[in-house]
Amino acid sequence: MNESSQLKKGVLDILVLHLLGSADLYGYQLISELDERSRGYFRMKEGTLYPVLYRLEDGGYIESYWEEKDAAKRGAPRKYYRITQDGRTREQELKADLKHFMTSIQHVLGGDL
Amino acid sequence: MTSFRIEEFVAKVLARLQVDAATKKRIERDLTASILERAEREGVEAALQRMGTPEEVAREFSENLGGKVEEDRLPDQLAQLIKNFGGYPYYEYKSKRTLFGLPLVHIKLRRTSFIPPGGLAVAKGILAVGDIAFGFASMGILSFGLLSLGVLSIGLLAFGAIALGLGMAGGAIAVGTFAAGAIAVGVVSFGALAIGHMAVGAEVVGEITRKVTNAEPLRQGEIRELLRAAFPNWFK
Repeated sequence: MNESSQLKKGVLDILVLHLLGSADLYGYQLISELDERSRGYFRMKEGTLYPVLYRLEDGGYIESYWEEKDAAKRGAPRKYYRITQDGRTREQELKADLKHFMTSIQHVLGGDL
Repeated sequence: MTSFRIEEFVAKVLARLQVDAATKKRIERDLTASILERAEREGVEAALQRMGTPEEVAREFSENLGGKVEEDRLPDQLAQLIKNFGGYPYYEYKSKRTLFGLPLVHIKLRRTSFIPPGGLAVAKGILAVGDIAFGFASMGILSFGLLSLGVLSIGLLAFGAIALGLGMAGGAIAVGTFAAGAIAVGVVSFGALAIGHMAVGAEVVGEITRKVTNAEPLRQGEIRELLRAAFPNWFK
């Protein structure tokens, strides 16, 4: 795994919580949203996303529910994720940490970034 | 309904993951649902193509879950077979009882076709079954024994695609004292092409011969008459 991948993984929790903060989304929607909004930088597959979702779900920051499609649409049931109150709090904490992290880097690098 | 191709793909991913049963179940449902979501937009084959190989998906899950990937260098079926059968690529049975220093029964069969690590299975016993079998009674691709049956069999009584029998041989090509086959060569031979001291068949070469045709089929008792003619001292 290269350094870029490690950096990306470090911020996935906050990105997922942020996306779920505005709407309930199912797995593939999260993958698509991350891909589109980051202009391809966060193009990930299920093997990366689901472990993040499991960690957040087990921590009580998100919860999931299955939604059956109505018979007319004949689609597969979808598993939606939604953020919990603890998740919203966690998102704010992580954003504060990230802000501190980025500010500290800027202090070190100065105008080189 | 979940397509067979998706089920197969997910099963291959799960087979490579070393995680607890609950996590496996979780991944099975979520991965299936996610591929179905992709498939609704672009079709099953394109969705699977985009996922990468089962090995890659399993590796990614493992890296992010802290698990391990099993046997990912081996072809799917071989990895499953070796896993199922404890790593030994043969089915083997050898009886404890012996006779003349040989087990009464020795059966050795490959589980993995000819691909490594399953080389030829050699069996030796009173009754031997294997790719190559040596025994009083033997059965195999190559078989050697008093009574042998195989693709190439050699013995006192030999039967097979190519049979060489000191006493009797039967097969597509049969060579023996008594030989019967498509091509039969023997002291007494029966075949489409029969060659021998006494030869009976569609085409015959020998001293005492009987060419069998539709117009002249064998009559009842005719074999005995031919044997008397070929071996007057033995058959009177």
